[in-house]
Amino acid sequence: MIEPLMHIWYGNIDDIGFLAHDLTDPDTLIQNIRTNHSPTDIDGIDIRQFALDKGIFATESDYMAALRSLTIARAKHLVKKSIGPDQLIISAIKALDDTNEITNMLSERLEEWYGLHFPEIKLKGEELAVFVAQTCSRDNIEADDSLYEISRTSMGCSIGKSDEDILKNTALTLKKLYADRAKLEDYINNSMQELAPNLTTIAGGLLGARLIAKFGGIKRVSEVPSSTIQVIGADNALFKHLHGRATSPKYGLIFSHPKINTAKWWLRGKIARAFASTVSKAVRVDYYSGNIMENLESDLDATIGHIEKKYPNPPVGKGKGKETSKGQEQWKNDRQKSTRSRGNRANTVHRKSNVLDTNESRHRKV
Amino acid sequence: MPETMQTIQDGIYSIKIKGSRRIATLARKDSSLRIWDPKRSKLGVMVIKNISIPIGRDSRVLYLGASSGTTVSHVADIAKVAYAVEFSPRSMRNLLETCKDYDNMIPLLDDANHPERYSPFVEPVDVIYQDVAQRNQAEIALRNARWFLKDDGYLIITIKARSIDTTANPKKILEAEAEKLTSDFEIFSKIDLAPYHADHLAVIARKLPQEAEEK
Repeated sequence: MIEPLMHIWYGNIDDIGFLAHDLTDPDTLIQNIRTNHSPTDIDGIDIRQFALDKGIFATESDYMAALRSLTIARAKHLVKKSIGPDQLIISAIKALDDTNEITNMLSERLEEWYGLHFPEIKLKGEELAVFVAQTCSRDNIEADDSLYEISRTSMGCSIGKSDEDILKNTALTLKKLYADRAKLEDYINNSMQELAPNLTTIAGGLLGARLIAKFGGIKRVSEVPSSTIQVIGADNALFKHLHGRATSPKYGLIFSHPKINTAKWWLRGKIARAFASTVSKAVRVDYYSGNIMENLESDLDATIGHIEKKYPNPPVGKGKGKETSKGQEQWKNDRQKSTRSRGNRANTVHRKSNVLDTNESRHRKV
Repeated sequence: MPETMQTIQDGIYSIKIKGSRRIATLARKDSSLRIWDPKRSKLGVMVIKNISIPIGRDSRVLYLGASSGTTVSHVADIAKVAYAVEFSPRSMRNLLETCKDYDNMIPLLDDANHPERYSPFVEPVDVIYQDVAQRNQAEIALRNARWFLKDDGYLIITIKARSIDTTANPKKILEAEAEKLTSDFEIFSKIDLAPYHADHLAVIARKLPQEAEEK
Protein backbone atom coordinates (compact mmCIF):
# COMPACT_ATOMS: atom_id res chain seq x y z
CA MET A 1 0.00 0.00 0.00
CA ILE A 2 2.74 2.42 0.95
CA GLU A 3 4.81 1.87 -2.22
CA PRO A 4 2.58 3.06 -5.01
CA LEU A 5 1.78 6.29 -3.15
CA MET A 6 5.43 7.01 -2.36
CA HIS A 7 6.33 6.66 -6.01
CA ILE A 8 4.06 9.54 -6.85
CA TRP A 9 6.48 11.80 -5.04
CA TYR A 10 9.77 10.05 -5.32
CA GLY A 11 9.42 8.36 -8.65
CA ASN A 12 10.99 10.07 -11.64
CA ILE A 13 11.31 13.57 -10.32
CA ASP A 14 14.99 14.17 -10.96
CA ASP A 15 15.07 17.57 -12.56
CA ILE A 16 15.46 19.31 -9.22
CA GLY A 17 17.78 16.82 -7.65
CA PHE A 18 15.47 14.25 -6.19
CA LEU A 19 16.79 10.77 -6.48
CA ALA A 20 14.63 8.15 -8.03
CA HIS A 21 14.79 5.32 -5.55
CA ASP A 22 13.72 1.76 -5.62
CA LEU A 23 11.62 1.93 -2.49
CA THR A 24 12.97 -0.29 0.25
CA ASP A 25 13.20 1.72 3.42
CA PRO A 26 10.85 4.68 3.77
CA ASP A 27 13.09 6.25 6.40
CA THR A 28 16.21 6.53 4.24
CA LEU A 29 14.14 7.91 1.45
CA ILE A 30 12.70 10.57 3.60
CA GLN A 31 16.11 11.52 4.95
CA ASN A 32 17.37 11.99 1.41
CA ILE A 33 14.64 14.09 0.05
CA ARG A 34 15.28 17.55 1.43
CA THR A 35 18.73 17.20 2.85
CA ASN A 36 20.00 16.22 -0.56
CA HIS A 37 18.31 19.03 -2.36
CA SER A 38 19.81 22.10 -0.70
CA PRO A 39 20.77 21.94 2.97
CA THR A 40 21.24 25.67 3.24
CA ASP A 41 18.03 26.63 1.50
CA ILE A 42 15.72 27.60 4.29
CA ASP A 43 12.59 27.60 2.18
CA GLY A 44 12.94 24.07 0.94
CA ILE A 45 10.28 23.01 -1.46
CA ASP A 46 6.61 23.79 -1.23
CA ILE A 47 5.68 20.18 -1.82
CA ARG A 48 2.04 20.90 -2.39
CA GLN A 49 2.66 23.63 -4.95
CA PHE A 50 5.33 21.54 -6.63
CA ALA A 51 3.00 18.58 -6.97
CA LEU A 52 0.25 20.74 -8.45
CA ASP A 53 2.61 22.59 -10.79
CA LYS A 54 4.09 19.38 -12.14
CA GLY A 55 0.62 18.06 -12.76
CA ILE A 56 1.06 15.11 -10.44
CA PHE A 57 -2.30 16.08 -8.98
CA ALA A 58 -5.13 17.85 -10.67
CA THR A 59 -6.56 19.54 -7.62
CA GLU A 60 -5.64 20.40 -4.06
CA SER A 61 -8.11 17.91 -2.68
CA ASP A 62 -6.57 15.12 -4.77
CA TYR A 63 -3.22 16.03 -3.25
CA MET A 64 -4.63 16.09 0.28
CA ALA A 65 -6.35 12.76 -0.13
CA ALA A 66 -3.15 11.09 -1.38
CA LEU A 67 -1.04 12.73 1.32
CA ARG A 68 -3.48 11.59 3.97
CA SER A 69 -3.52 7.95 2.80
CA LEU A 70 0.24 7.94 2.57
CA THR A 71 0.87 9.39 6.01
CA ILE A 72 -1.71 7.15 7.66
CA ALA A 73 -0.09 4.09 6.07
CA ARG A 74 3.33 5.31 7.15
CA ALA A 75 2.21 5.98 10.71
CA LYS A 76 0.66 2.52 11.01
CA HIS A 77 3.85 0.98 9.64
CA LEU A 78 5.98 2.84 12.18
CA VAL A 79 3.68 1.99 15.07
CA LYS A 80 3.90 -1.68 14.19
CA LYS A 81 7.68 -1.49 13.91
CA SER A 82 7.95 0.06 17.36
CA ILE A 83 6.45 -2.90 19.21
CA GLY A 84 9.06 -5.47 20.11
CA PRO A 85 9.01 -8.61 22.28
CA ASP A 86 10.16 -6.54 25.23
CA GLN A 87 6.80 -4.72 25.18
CA LEU A 88 4.97 -7.99 25.75
CA ILE A 89 7.22 -8.78 28.69
CA ILE A 90 6.64 -5.33 30.15
CA SER A 91 2.90 -5.84 30.09
CA ALA A 92 3.31 -9.29 31.63
CA ILE A 93 5.38 -8.04 34.55
CA LYS A 94 2.88 -5.26 35.18
CA ALA A 95 0.12 -7.86 35.06
CA LEU A 96 2.07 -9.87 37.62
CA ASP A 97 2.33 -6.90 39.98
CA ASP A 98 -1.38 -6.20 39.54
CA THR A 99 -2.21 -9.85 40.19
CA ASN A 100 -0.13 -9.78 43.36
CA GLU A 101 -2.00 -6.78 44.67
CA ILE A 102 -5.37 -8.28 43.87
CA THR A 103 -4.43 -11.64 45.34
CA ASN A 104 -3.26 -10.09 48.59
CA MET A 105 -6.42 -8.03 48.91
CA LEU A 106 -8.76 -10.89 48.18
CA SER A 107 -6.96 -13.35 50.42
CA GLU A 108 -7.25 -10.95 53.35
CA ARG A 109 -10.91 -10.60 52.59
CA LEU A 110 -11.39 -14.38 52.53
CA GLU A 111 -9.67 -14.68 55.90
CA GLU A 112 -12.04 -12.15 57.41
CA TRP A 113 -15.07 -13.62 55.75
CA TYR A 114 -14.35 -17.27 56.44
CA GLY A 115 -13.28 -16.34 59.94
CA LEU A 116 -16.91 -15.56 60.71
CA HIS A 117 -17.66 -19.26 60.32
CA PHE A 118 -14.45 -20.85 61.49
CA PRO A 119 -12.20 -18.30 63.31
CA GLU A 120 -9.97 -20.94 64.88
CA ILE A 121 -8.52 -22.11 61.60
CA LYS A 122 -4.88 -21.12 61.25
CA LEU A 123 -4.65 -21.41 57.47
CA LYS A 124 -3.93 -18.35 55.33
CA GLY A 125 -3.38 -17.39 51.73
CA GLU A 126 -3.31 -20.14 49.18
CA GLU A 127 -3.77 -22.92 51.74
CA LEU A 128 -6.93 -21.30 53.02
CA ALA A 129 -8.25 -20.80 49.52
CA VAL A 130 -7.70 -24.47 48.73
CA PHE A 131 -9.37 -25.54 51.97
CA VAL A 132 -12.40 -23.34 51.55
CA ALA A 133 -12.81 -24.29 47.91
CA GLN A 134 -12.75 -27.96 48.81
CA THR A 135 -14.35 -28.28 52.25
CA CYS A 136 -15.79 -24.93 53.33
CA SER A 137 -18.44 -25.85 55.93
CA ARG A 138 -17.22 -27.18 59.29
CA ASP A 139 -19.75 -29.95 58.96
CA ASN A 140 -17.78 -31.35 56.05
CA ILE A 141 -14.71 -32.02 58.15
CA GLU A 142 -14.07 -35.75 58.68
CA ALA A 143 -13.63 -37.23 62.14
CA ASP A 144 -10.08 -38.36 61.40
CA ASP A 145 -9.01 -34.84 60.31
CA SER A 146 -6.70 -32.86 62.60
CA LEU A 147 -9.13 -29.95 62.45
CA TYR A 148 -12.07 -32.05 63.67
CA GLU A 149 -11.74 -31.30 67.37
CA ILE A 150 -11.56 -27.52 67.10
CA SER A 151 -14.29 -27.47 64.49
CA ARG A 152 -16.74 -29.08 66.91
CA THR A 153 -16.29 -26.38 69.55
CA SER A 154 -15.86 -23.41 67.22
CA MET A 155 -17.25 -20.00 68.18
CA GLY A 156 -17.99 -19.26 64.54
CA CYS A 157 -21.49 -18.91 63.11
CA SER A 158 -23.22 -21.63 61.13
CA ILE A 159 -23.63 -21.23 57.38
CA GLY A 160 -26.32 -22.42 54.98
CA LYS A 161 -25.97 -23.79 51.47
CA SER A 162 -26.00 -20.43 49.70
CA ASP A 163 -23.40 -18.99 52.10
CA GLU A 164 -21.22 -22.01 51.49
CA ASP A 165 -21.58 -21.75 47.73
CA ILE A 166 -20.60 -18.12 47.57
CA LEU A 167 -17.61 -18.62 49.86
CA LYS A 168 -16.45 -21.48 47.67
CA ASN A 169 -16.88 -19.24 44.65
CA THR A 170 -14.53 -16.60 45.99
CA ALA A 171 -12.10 -19.24 47.17
CA LEU A 172 -12.01 -20.74 43.68
CA THR A 173 -11.31 -17.34 42.15
CA LEU A 174 -8.49 -16.88 44.60
CA LYS A 175 -7.12 -20.32 43.82
CA LYS A 176 -7.11 -19.42 40.13
CA LEU A 177 -5.32 -16.16 40.86
CA TYR A 178 -2.56 -17.97 42.70
CA ALA A 179 -2.19 -20.33 39.76
CA ASP A 180 -2.18 -17.38 37.33
CA ARG A 181 0.55 -15.73 39.32
CA ALA A 182 2.72 -18.79 38.93
CA LYS A 183 1.94 -18.98 35.20
CA LEU A 184 2.86 -15.33 34.72
CA GLU A 185 6.16 -15.86 36.50
CA ASP A 186 6.94 -18.84 34.29
CA TYR A 187 6.02 -16.91 31.17
CA ILE A 188 8.20 -13.98 32.18
CA ASN A 189 11.15 -16.18 33.04
CA ASN A 190 10.90 -18.07 29.77
CA SER A 191 10.44 -14.97 27.65
CA MET A 192 13.32 -13.22 29.38
CA GLN A 193 15.53 -16.24 28.81
CA GLU A 194 14.79 -15.96 25.12
CA LEU A 195 14.96 -12.18 24.81
CA ALA A 196 17.94 -11.50 27.06
CA PRO A 197 19.74 -14.65 28.20
CA ASN A 198 22.75 -12.89 29.74
CA LEU A 199 20.60 -10.46 31.69
CA THR A 200 18.50 -13.38 32.93
CA THR A 201 21.62 -15.26 34.05
CA ILE A 202 22.76 -12.34 36.19
CA ALA A 203 19.62 -10.69 37.45
CA GLY A 204 17.05 -13.41 37.00
CA GLY A 205 13.92 -13.20 34.86
CA LEU A 206 11.78 -11.10 37.18
CA LEU A 207 14.33 -8.44 38.13
CA GLY A 208 15.46 -8.29 34.50
CA ALA A 209 11.88 -7.77 33.36
CA ARG A 210 11.37 -5.09 36.03
CA LEU A 211 14.42 -3.20 34.79
CA ILE A 212 13.19 -3.35 31.22
CA ALA A 213 9.73 -2.22 32.32
CA LYS A 214 11.17 0.68 34.29
CA PHE A 215 13.12 1.94 31.31
CA GLY A 216 10.34 1.23 28.83
CA GLY A 217 12.32 -1.11 26.58
CA ILE A 218 15.47 -3.17 26.38
CA LYS A 219 17.11 -0.67 24.02
CA ARG A 220 16.90 2.03 26.66
CA VAL A 221 18.46 -0.22 29.28
CA SER A 222 21.40 -0.84 26.97
CA GLU A 223 21.90 2.89 26.44
CA VAL A 224 22.15 4.14 30.00
CA PRO A 225 25.32 4.10 32.11
CA SER A 226 25.61 1.36 34.72
CA SER A 227 25.28 3.90 37.52
CA THR A 228 21.74 4.62 36.35
CA ILE A 229 20.90 0.92 36.42
CA GLN A 230 22.35 0.83 39.91
CA VAL A 231 19.97 3.40 41.37
CA ILE A 232 16.91 3.21 39.15
CA GLY A 233 13.89 2.59 41.33
CA ALA A 234 15.12 4.68 44.26
CA ASP A 235 13.38 7.72 42.81
CA ASN A 236 12.75 9.67 46.00
CA ALA A 237 16.29 9.18 47.26
CA LEU A 238 17.73 9.98 43.85
CA PHE A 239 15.92 13.27 43.44
CA LYS A 240 16.72 14.28 46.96
CA HIS A 241 20.37 13.67 46.14
CA LEU A 242 20.16 15.56 42.84
CA HIS A 243 18.68 18.53 44.64
CA GLY A 244 21.66 18.50 46.95
CA ARG A 245 19.90 17.45 50.12
CA ALA A 246 21.24 13.93 50.62
CA THR A 247 23.95 11.45 49.70
CA SER A 248 23.38 9.32 46.64
CA PRO A 249 21.33 6.15 46.99
CA LYS A 250 23.37 2.97 46.77
CA TYR A 251 20.81 0.80 45.01
CA GLY A 252 17.27 0.88 43.69
CA LEU A 253 15.39 -1.98 42.04
CA ILE A 254 18.48 -4.15 42.10
CA PHE A 255 18.31 -4.34 45.89
CA SER A 256 15.83 -7.17 45.49
CA HIS A 257 18.65 -9.40 44.27
CA PRO A 258 20.08 -11.73 46.96
CA LYS A 259 23.67 -10.91 46.03
CA ILE A 260 22.98 -7.42 47.32
CA ASN A 261 20.39 -7.75 50.04
CA THR A 262 22.14 -10.60 51.85
CA ALA A 263 25.54 -8.94 51.74
CA LYS A 264 27.13 -7.32 54.78
CA TRP A 265 25.94 -3.76 55.16
CA TRP A 266 29.26 -2.05 54.59
CA LEU A 267 29.82 -3.97 51.34
CA ARG A 268 26.43 -3.41 49.77
CA GLY A 269 27.24 -0.22 47.94
CA LYS A 270 30.38 -1.65 46.37
CA ILE A 271 28.66 -4.88 45.42
CA ALA A 272 25.73 -2.94 43.98
CA ARG A 273 28.13 -1.04 41.75
CA ALA A 274 29.83 -4.21 40.51
CA PHE A 275 26.47 -5.87 39.99
CA ALA A 276 25.07 -2.95 38.01
CA SER A 277 28.11 -2.82 35.80
CA THR A 278 27.76 -6.55 35.03
CA VAL A 279 24.06 -6.06 34.28
CA SER A 280 24.98 -3.26 31.91
CA LYS A 281 27.44 -5.42 30.00
CA ALA A 282 24.98 -8.31 29.88
CA VAL A 283 22.10 -6.28 28.51
CA ARG A 284 24.26 -4.64 25.87
CA VAL A 285 25.42 -8.00 24.58
CA ASP A 286 21.83 -9.23 24.67
CA TYR A 287 20.52 -6.26 22.72
CA TYR A 288 23.22 -6.04 20.10
CA SER A 289 24.57 -9.49 19.44
CA GLY A 290 22.49 -12.05 21.30
CA ASN A 291 25.58 -14.12 22.05
CA ILE A 292 25.87 -15.95 25.34
CA MET A 293 28.65 -14.54 27.48
CA GLU A 294 30.70 -17.16 29.21
CA ASN A 295 31.85 -16.69 32.80
CA LEU A 296 29.53 -13.75 33.30
CA GLU A 297 28.32 -14.86 36.68
CA SER A 298 31.58 -16.40 37.83
CA ASP A 299 33.44 -13.17 37.06
CA LEU A 300 30.93 -11.20 39.09
CA ASP A 301 31.23 -13.67 41.98
CA ALA A 302 35.01 -13.37 41.80
CA THR A 303 34.77 -9.58 42.02
CA ILE A 304 32.43 -9.86 44.99
CA GLY A 305 34.88 -12.26 46.59
CA HIS A 306 37.64 -9.67 46.23
CA ILE A 307 35.45 -7.00 47.79
CA GLU A 308 34.64 -9.22 50.74
CA LYS A 309 38.29 -10.06 51.22
CA LYS A 310 39.39 -6.45 51.04
CA TYR A 311 36.89 -5.16 53.58
CA PRO A 312 36.40 -7.93 56.12
CA ASN A 313 35.42 -5.52 58.87
CA PRO A 314 32.98 -2.66 59.06
CA PRO A 315 34.69 0.73 58.93
CA VAL A 316 35.29 2.62 62.19
CA GLY A 317 36.09 6.33 62.01
CA LYS A 318 35.99 9.82 63.55
CA GLY A 319 32.60 10.88 62.21
CA LYS A 320 29.10 10.40 63.55
CA GLY A 321 26.77 7.75 62.21
CA LYS A 322 27.51 4.24 61.18
CA GLU A 323 31.26 4.59 61.39
CA THR A 324 31.43 4.56 65.20
CA SER A 325 30.59 1.47 67.26
CA LYS A 326 27.92 3.53 68.95
CA GLY A 327 26.68 4.41 65.50
CA GLN A 328 26.53 0.75 64.58
CA GLU A 329 24.38 0.01 67.61
CA GLN A 330 22.13 2.87 66.59
CA TRP A 331 21.98 1.53 63.07
CA LYS A 332 20.93 -1.92 64.24
CA ASN A 333 18.19 -0.42 66.38
CA ASP A 334 17.00 1.76 63.53
CA ARG A 335 16.37 -1.21 61.30
CA GLN A 336 13.48 -2.16 63.52
CA LYS A 337 12.04 1.32 63.53
CA SER A 338 9.69 2.76 60.96
CA THR A 339 10.91 4.02 57.63
CA ARG A 340 9.90 7.53 58.50
CA SER A 341 12.37 7.86 61.31
CA ARG A 342 15.03 6.26 59.12
CA GLY A 343 14.39 8.93 56.55
CA ASN A 344 14.79 11.69 59.08
CA ARG A 345 18.00 10.15 60.27
CA ALA A 346 19.36 10.24 56.72
CA ASN A 347 18.71 13.97 56.63
CA THR A 348 20.46 14.92 59.80
CA VAL A 349 23.38 12.55 60.04
CA HIS A 350 24.54 11.69 56.55
CA ARG A 351 24.95 15.12 55.06
CA LYS A 352 27.08 15.02 51.93
CA SER A 353 29.93 17.10 53.30
CA ASN A 354 29.99 15.17 56.54
CA VAL A 355 30.61 11.85 54.86
CA LEU A 356 33.24 13.17 52.47
CA ASP A 357 35.23 14.72 55.30
CA THR A 358 35.31 11.80 57.60
CA ASN A 359 35.68 8.31 56.23
CA GLU A 360 37.39 8.11 52.85
CA SER A 361 37.59 4.35 52.83
CA ARG A 362 33.84 4.15 52.28
CA HIS A 363 34.29 5.90 48.97
CA ARG A 364 37.41 4.21 47.78
CA LYS A 365 36.66 2.71 44.39
CA VAL A 366 37.05 -1.04 44.11
CA MET B 1 -29.36 21.81 21.68
CA PRO B 2 -27.65 24.84 23.19
CA GLU B 3 -29.74 27.65 24.59
CA THR B 4 -27.57 30.32 23.04
CA MET B 5 -24.75 30.28 20.51
CA GLN B 6 -22.38 33.11 19.66
CA THR B 7 -19.37 33.21 17.43
CA ILE B 8 -16.16 34.10 19.27
CA GLN B 9 -14.11 33.92 16.12
CA ASP B 10 -14.44 32.06 12.84
CA GLY B 11 -15.16 28.44 13.68
CA ILE B 12 -15.15 28.85 17.47
CA TYR B 13 -18.42 29.30 19.33
CA SER B 14 -19.46 30.24 22.81
CA ILE B 15 -22.58 28.37 23.81
CA LYS B 16 -24.82 28.15 26.82
CA ILE B 17 -25.98 24.68 27.62
CA LYS B 18 -27.94 23.71 30.74
CA GLY B 19 -27.11 27.05 32.21
CA SER B 20 -23.32 26.84 31.88
CA ARG B 21 -21.16 28.58 29.34
CA ARG B 22 -18.99 26.38 27.15
CA ILE B 23 -16.83 26.75 24.07
CA ALA B 24 -17.27 24.51 21.06
CA THR B 25 -16.34 23.86 17.45
CA LEU B 26 -18.30 22.19 14.67
CA ALA B 27 -17.13 18.73 13.63
CA ARG B 28 -15.55 18.63 10.22
CA LYS B 29 -17.43 15.51 9.24
CA ASP B 30 -21.02 16.33 10.03
CA SER B 31 -21.01 19.83 11.57
CA SER B 32 -22.21 18.47 14.88
CA LEU B 33 -21.41 20.56 17.93
CA ARG B 34 -18.26 19.49 19.74
CA ILE B 35 -17.70 20.83 23.22
CA TRP B 36 -14.14 22.02 23.82
CA ASP B 37 -12.85 21.14 27.29
CA PRO B 38 -10.21 23.56 28.59
CA LYS B 39 -9.15 21.10 31.28
CA ARG B 40 -7.87 18.79 28.58
CA SER B 41 -6.86 21.40 26.02
CA LYS B 42 -4.54 24.31 26.62
CA LEU B 43 -5.61 26.03 23.43
CA GLY B 44 -9.13 25.85 24.81
CA VAL B 45 -7.97 27.73 27.90
CA MET B 46 -6.70 30.55 25.70
CA VAL B 47 -10.06 30.77 23.95
CA ILE B 48 -11.92 30.85 27.26
CA LYS B 49 -9.66 33.65 28.43
CA ASN B 50 -10.79 35.66 25.40
CA ILE B 51 -7.43 35.57 23.67
CA SER B 52 -7.69 35.94 19.92
CA ILE B 53 -6.24 32.81 18.30
CA PRO B 54 -4.44 33.40 14.98
CA ILE B 55 -6.03 30.34 13.34
CA GLY B 56 -8.67 30.82 10.65
CA ARG B 57 -10.47 28.96 7.89
CA ASP B 58 -7.50 29.28 5.52
CA SER B 59 -4.80 28.47 8.04
CA ARG B 60 -2.34 25.69 7.54
CA VAL B 61 -1.22 24.55 10.97
CA LEU B 62 1.72 22.46 12.10
CA TYR B 63 0.87 20.88 15.44
CA LEU B 64 3.80 19.57 17.44
CA GLY B 65 2.89 17.22 20.28
CA ALA B 66 -0.47 16.08 18.96
CA SER B 67 -0.81 13.36 21.61
CA SER B 68 -4.12 11.46 21.34
CA GLY B 69 -5.71 14.15 19.22
CA THR B 70 -8.09 16.05 21.50
CA THR B 71 -6.84 19.57 20.78
CA VAL B 72 -5.74 18.78 17.21
CA SER B 73 -9.28 17.77 16.36
CA HIS B 74 -10.56 21.21 17.33
CA VAL B 75 -7.78 22.82 15.31
CA ALA B 76 -8.78 20.65 12.35
CA ASP B 77 -12.39 21.75 12.83
CA ILE B 78 -11.34 25.39 12.48
CA ALA B 79 -8.40 25.40 10.07
CA LYS B 80 -7.71 24.34 6.51
CA VAL B 81 -5.19 21.60 7.32
CA ALA B 82 -3.50 20.30 10.46
CA TYR B 83 -0.18 18.45 10.31
CA ALA B 84 -0.13 16.45 13.55
CA VAL B 85 3.33 15.43 14.78
CA GLU B 86 3.45 12.99 17.69
CA PHE B 87 6.41 11.03 19.01
CA SER B 88 4.79 8.25 21.02
CA PRO B 89 3.48 5.17 19.17
CA ARG B 90 0.95 4.59 21.93
CA SER B 91 -0.57 8.05 21.48
CA MET B 92 -0.39 7.70 17.71
CA ARG B 93 -2.71 4.72 17.94
CA ASN B 94 -5.40 6.99 19.38
CA LEU B 95 -4.53 9.79 16.98
CA LEU B 96 -5.05 7.50 13.99
CA GLU B 97 -8.57 6.77 15.25
CA THR B 98 -9.25 10.49 15.40
CA CYS B 99 -7.85 10.92 11.88
CA LYS B 100 -10.59 8.70 10.48
CA ASP B 101 -13.10 11.51 10.90
CA TYR B 102 -10.89 14.16 9.34
CA ASP B 103 -9.83 14.56 5.74
CA ASN B 104 -7.59 17.47 6.68
CA MET B 105 -5.55 15.93 9.48
CA ILE B 106 -2.16 14.49 8.55
CA PRO B 107 -0.62 12.14 11.17
CA LEU B 108 3.15 12.04 11.50
CA LEU B 109 4.86 9.67 13.92
CA ASP B 110 8.04 11.67 14.32
CA ASP B 111 10.36 13.40 16.72
CA ALA B 112 9.83 17.17 16.62
CA ASN B 113 13.56 17.56 17.20
CA HIS B 114 14.15 16.43 13.62
CA PRO B 115 11.94 18.42 11.28
CA GLU B 116 13.95 17.22 8.30
CA ARG B 117 12.43 13.77 8.80
CA TYR B 118 8.87 14.88 8.21
CA SER B 119 9.65 17.68 5.79
CA PRO B 120 8.59 15.69 2.70
CA PHE B 121 5.04 15.72 4.00
CA VAL B 122 4.72 19.23 5.37
CA GLU B 123 4.34 22.42 3.38
CA PRO B 124 5.09 25.97 4.57
CA VAL B 125 2.53 26.75 7.27
CA ASP B 126 0.81 29.80 8.70
CA VAL B 127 0.83 28.67 12.30
CA ILE B 128 2.91 26.38 14.46
CA TYR B 129 1.19 25.17 17.61
CA GLN B 130 3.55 23.50 20.01
CA ASP B 131 2.68 21.53 23.16
CA VAL B 132 5.59 19.21 23.85
CA ALA B 133 6.80 18.66 27.39
CA GLN B 134 10.53 18.74 26.69
CA ARG B 135 13.50 20.54 28.17
CA ASN B 136 14.57 22.09 24.88
CA GLN B 137 11.12 23.36 23.97
CA ALA B 138 12.40 26.69 22.71
CA GLU B 139 14.99 25.02 20.49
CA ILE B 140 12.35 22.76 18.95
CA ALA B 141 10.15 25.76 18.21
CA LEU B 142 12.96 27.71 16.59
CA ARG B 143 14.07 24.78 14.48
CA ASN B 144 10.60 23.93 13.20
CA ALA B 145 9.85 27.58 12.54
CA ARG B 146 12.96 27.90 10.42
CA TRP B 147 11.93 24.90 8.38
CA PHE B 148 8.22 25.43 7.99
CA LEU B 149 6.84 28.71 9.26
CA LYS B 150 6.12 31.44 6.73
CA ASP B 151 7.45 34.92 7.44
CA ASP B 152 4.88 36.75 9.56
CA GLY B 153 3.55 33.37 10.59
CA TYR B 154 2.47 32.74 14.15
CA LEU B 155 3.84 30.52 16.86
CA ILE B 156 1.59 29.41 19.70
CA ILE B 157 3.64 27.55 22.29
CA THR B 158 2.77 26.22 25.71
CA ILE B 159 5.67 26.11 28.14
CA LYS B 160 5.55 23.83 31.15
CA ALA B 161 7.87 24.98 33.90
CA ARG B 162 8.32 21.52 35.37
CA SER B 163 9.52 20.07 32.09
CA ILE B 164 12.42 22.47 31.96
CA ASP B 165 13.60 22.11 35.53
CA THR B 166 11.75 20.39 38.31
CA THR B 167 13.41 22.31 41.09
CA ALA B 168 13.81 25.99 40.21
CA ASN B 169 11.27 28.78 40.47
CA PRO B 170 8.54 28.31 37.83
CA LYS B 171 8.13 32.02 37.09
CA LYS B 172 11.82 32.43 36.35
CA ILE B 173 11.96 29.36 34.15
CA LEU B 174 8.99 30.54 32.10
CA GLU B 175 10.50 33.99 31.62
CA ALA B 176 13.83 32.51 30.56
CA GLU B 177 12.23 30.16 28.02
CA ALA B 178 10.16 32.96 26.53
CA GLU B 179 13.36 35.01 26.21
CA LYS B 180 14.96 32.31 24.07
CA LEU B 181 12.30 32.82 21.42
CA THR B 182 13.05 36.49 20.90
CA SER B 183 15.91 35.79 18.49
CA ASP B 184 13.43 34.75 15.79
CA PHE B 185 10.10 35.98 17.11
CA GLU B 186 8.28 39.03 18.31
CA ILE B 187 6.27 38.06 21.35
CA PHE B 188 2.68 39.27 21.28
CA SER B 189 1.13 37.85 24.38
CA LYS B 190 1.93 35.69 27.32
CA ILE B 191 -0.97 33.92 28.95
CA ASP B 192 -0.96 32.24 32.32
CA LEU B 193 -2.98 29.06 31.96
CA ALA B 194 -3.95 28.93 35.62
CA PRO B 195 -6.23 27.76 37.15
CA TYR B 196 -6.79 25.11 34.47
CA HIS B 197 -3.11 24.15 34.19
CA ALA B 198 -0.67 25.08 36.93
CA ASP B 199 2.77 26.57 36.16
CA HIS B 200 2.06 26.74 32.44
CA LEU B 201 2.58 29.71 30.21
CA ALA B 202 1.26 30.10 26.68
CA VAL B 203 3.11 32.43 24.34
CA ILE B 204 1.79 33.80 21.07
CA ALA B 205 4.52 35.19 18.86
CA ARG B 206 5.04 36.32 15.31
CA LYS B 207 7.98 35.28 13.15
CA LEU B 208 10.40 38.06 12.34
CA PRO B 209 11.44 38.31 8.68
CA GLN B 210 14.65 36.41 8.13
CA GLU B 211 17.52 36.66 5.69
CA ALA B 212 19.38 33.49 4.74
CA GLU B 213 19.79 31.39 7.87
CA GLU B 214 21.28 28.01 8.64
CA LYS B 215 18.80 25.35 9.67
